[in-house]
Amino acid sequence: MNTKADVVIIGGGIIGASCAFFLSQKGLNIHLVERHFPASGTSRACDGLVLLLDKGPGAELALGKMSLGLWNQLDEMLDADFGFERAGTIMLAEEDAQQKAGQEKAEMIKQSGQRAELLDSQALQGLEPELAPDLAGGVLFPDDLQVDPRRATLAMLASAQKKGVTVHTDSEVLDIKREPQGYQRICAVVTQKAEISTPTVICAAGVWSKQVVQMVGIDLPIKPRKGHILVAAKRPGFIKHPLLEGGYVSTVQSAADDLQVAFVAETTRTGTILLGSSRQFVGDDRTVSLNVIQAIASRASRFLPRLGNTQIIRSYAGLRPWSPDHLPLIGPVQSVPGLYLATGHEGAGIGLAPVTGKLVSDWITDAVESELAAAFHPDRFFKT
Amino acid sequence: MEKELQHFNIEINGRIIQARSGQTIAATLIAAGITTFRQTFTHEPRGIFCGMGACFECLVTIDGISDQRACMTLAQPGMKVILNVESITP
Amino acid sequence: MKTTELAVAGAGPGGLSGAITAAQAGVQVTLLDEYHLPGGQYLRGALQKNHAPAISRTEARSRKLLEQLPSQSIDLKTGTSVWGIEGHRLALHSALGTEWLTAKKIIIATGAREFVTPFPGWTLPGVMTLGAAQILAKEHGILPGKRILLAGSGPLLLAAASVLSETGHGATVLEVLEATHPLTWMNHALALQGNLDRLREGWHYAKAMLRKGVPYRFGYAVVSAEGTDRLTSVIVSKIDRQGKRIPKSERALSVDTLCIGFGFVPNIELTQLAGCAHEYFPECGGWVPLTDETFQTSIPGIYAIGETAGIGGAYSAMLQGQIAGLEVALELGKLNEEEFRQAYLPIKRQLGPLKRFSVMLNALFRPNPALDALITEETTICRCEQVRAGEVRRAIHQGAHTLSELKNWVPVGQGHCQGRTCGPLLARLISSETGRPAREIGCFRPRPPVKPIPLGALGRLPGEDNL
Repeated sequence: MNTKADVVIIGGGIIGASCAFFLSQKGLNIHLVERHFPASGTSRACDGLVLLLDKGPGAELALGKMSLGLWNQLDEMLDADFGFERAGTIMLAEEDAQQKAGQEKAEMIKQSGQRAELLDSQALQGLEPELAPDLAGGVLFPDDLQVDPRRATLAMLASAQKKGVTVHTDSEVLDIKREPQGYQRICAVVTQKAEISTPTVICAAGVWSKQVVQMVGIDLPIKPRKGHILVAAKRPGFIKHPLLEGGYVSTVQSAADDLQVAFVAETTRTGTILLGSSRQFVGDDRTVSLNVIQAIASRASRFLPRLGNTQIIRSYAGLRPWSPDHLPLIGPVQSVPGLYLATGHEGAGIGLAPVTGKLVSDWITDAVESELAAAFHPDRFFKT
Repeated sequence: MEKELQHFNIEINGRIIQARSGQTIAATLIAAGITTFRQTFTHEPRGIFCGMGACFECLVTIDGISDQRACMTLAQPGMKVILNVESITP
Repeated sequence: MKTTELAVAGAGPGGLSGAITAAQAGVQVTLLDEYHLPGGQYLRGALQKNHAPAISRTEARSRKLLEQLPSQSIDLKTGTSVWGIEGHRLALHSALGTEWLTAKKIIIATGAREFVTPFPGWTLPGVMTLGAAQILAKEHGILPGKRILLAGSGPLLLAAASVLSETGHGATVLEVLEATHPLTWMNHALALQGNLDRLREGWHYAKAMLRKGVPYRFGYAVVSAEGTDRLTSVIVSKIDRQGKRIPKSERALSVDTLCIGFGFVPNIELTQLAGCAHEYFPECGGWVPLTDETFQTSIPGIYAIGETAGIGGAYSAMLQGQIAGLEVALELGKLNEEEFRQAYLPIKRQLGPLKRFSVMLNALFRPNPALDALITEETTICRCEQVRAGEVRRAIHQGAHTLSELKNWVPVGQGHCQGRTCGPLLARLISSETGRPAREIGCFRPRPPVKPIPLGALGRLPGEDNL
């Protein structure tokens, strides 16, 4: 099949879906190509937390805040239930040094205009009676959100499709063609089912973006960073907020190869409790590792001792797309006219999906470089 | 020498029920005429289905540990079993 | 960390046979079973039978294995589930907690589970599988209710009906409803050759039914089960040889127990987790691990035998167990090639006719897709999460054509049973709605723990230093 598009989005995860959603508001002819089915990759293996506490100060925090605002808007705009909750989150401190770090984090968040409330040990126990009693305290971030990543992906995609976006599934990109002359702008995307003529491509293929942009000679410094999640049987109300241990942020920021485990817990809409988290660089292996789930279970038991008798009914592993400065790549690639990247979100893809889609769609239609966007410009890795 | 059948008591939602050695919790409940073991989160009644540990329908709480399969757990003297039901029938 | 030469997962007739064969050749064996007694489903209640004579060569032989077990210096661990496997390392859980077991060779003999096609009301207390009723009667000497109806298809229907009829105690087996028509059996008469023992078993059960005067009817299906807190009645209907309902043939029956089953599905969670290659063979009962002539899977050192490798009955499972046990002994240097060949060849020769018979059974008594017409919009498909057929069909129409993709739309396969009950049902639904073959639809991919284990026990599994 041969067809034409103004923009082709490669990747049907939450980032691609968000790009499709925002672009669909601009009246362009958009096609999205997904090699398996929507939310079949990393978007299906995430927890659903939309956080600010894991963002560094400055541009990253601003990006996170903007995305939080957009998620709140999406709750109105999307005609679907995607598990949206104003859940808030609590970052825990095991001892005083962590409590102090939590205080600094709270200050940073408050300065950006979001709420943060310090909790001493007693206040923490009052809010979350199932937590181990020996914690020093924590910080409550009441404005943090929770979504169901799969439903959110499908909801954004459905909305985009209603506005005319064409979604191709079971369509792996085999080639990206460029004009032979001049600036060699992109001119087509080839899958096993179709050839789509287009001057503009957004690569939103997560950890697989590397293979995709290799087709146009780009060496993307993205590495897969494996994570695991355990699912505990339904205990609605056992915890009242999503919980993260204080050390979570340092595992996110770390570039170490070896296993990093940090406690995260989140109750889903059905009442099951997701338990994480783990980070490792082990290539693109997605099998669930027994050692890792043991470590996650052990850490979870430390913080929620009375959850010990609850059955673990499932586990899964996914690959986060990690970039060397731990910031996403959002925007054009100067050396390949027509190519835009929307990838590299390591551990923050769900939260940052709306702002990514919005920024990319602004790039494409207005070709304006916003101040915020400059920090995430892909060319920071490619400029010669 | 053949092992003699032991009879002993277990508790089901506070009610004393007689059990036999070698019987599973499921068999004990059914022998006592109890066929509804739990209610789902939408209040549908459920009892045993596969009887061999594959379907996880017969989930009961035993001595404080939830989601145990009644068909795979031997009744033991003094066990305290909680069925997640509004009232035990009969 | 505990090590052993051979770990056998599953102590049914197949696993017992493999373990004992290997042990007799001098292999160090650990035999694991989730239930507190060995014997699997086939030998439930075998201990209670005491000195009652075996009804077939199969039963006699398998009971003998149980009797031999204590004298074989096999490390028997009952009440122990194998919830994970990584390379040749097994993760176990029992009342004592979680532990590792490393084995040079592994035989996976985890058997099969029953298959039931859904119909309105099938989740009511009082509706259960044939096996569930059989276990209650054989092992515990109790009947599941007072007014019992049996339905479904195949040899287990006959066996269960016979056992329940004989157990008595103030309960009545009202009727037995077999879905197939005997005339269709004639096409498969050739497969009976060399399978006298199966006929012997069948005749024993049939005699019991005749003695008790329980009506055994052919060409019937249960259309719906009714009741509020539990089953109180069913509607049954005649069906034709294509499985379609014959109009105006319904009648209502007042029953408190319905035992229903349509054959078996192999338990392949461990072979899947181990990374073995699988293929879809309807004549084997569905997805099975690929095995060679000594039942080694695509992963060297891991074997799959018995129902796990294809629905074939207890006798076949024992022979396969013997072959795998001999192969393991050969590989571990306890037997030489000549000893192996002498033992192996006569066993292998017996497998052919048995295989033909089970292929015939699996084809003849396969749950007719036409029965899916009984499923209404409101019929529960995923029992754990109460997902109804209407929701599943809507998701399929929106493009979900694999089990994997379906999970993005509806919370199927994500409850305690980990997709064991709903997996095969969903595959059938996708197939009937889209026309796609089962091979393309796939099955759920299991991750550890493949049986739920408590969070605390998982956390206390001894950690490892090197990762």
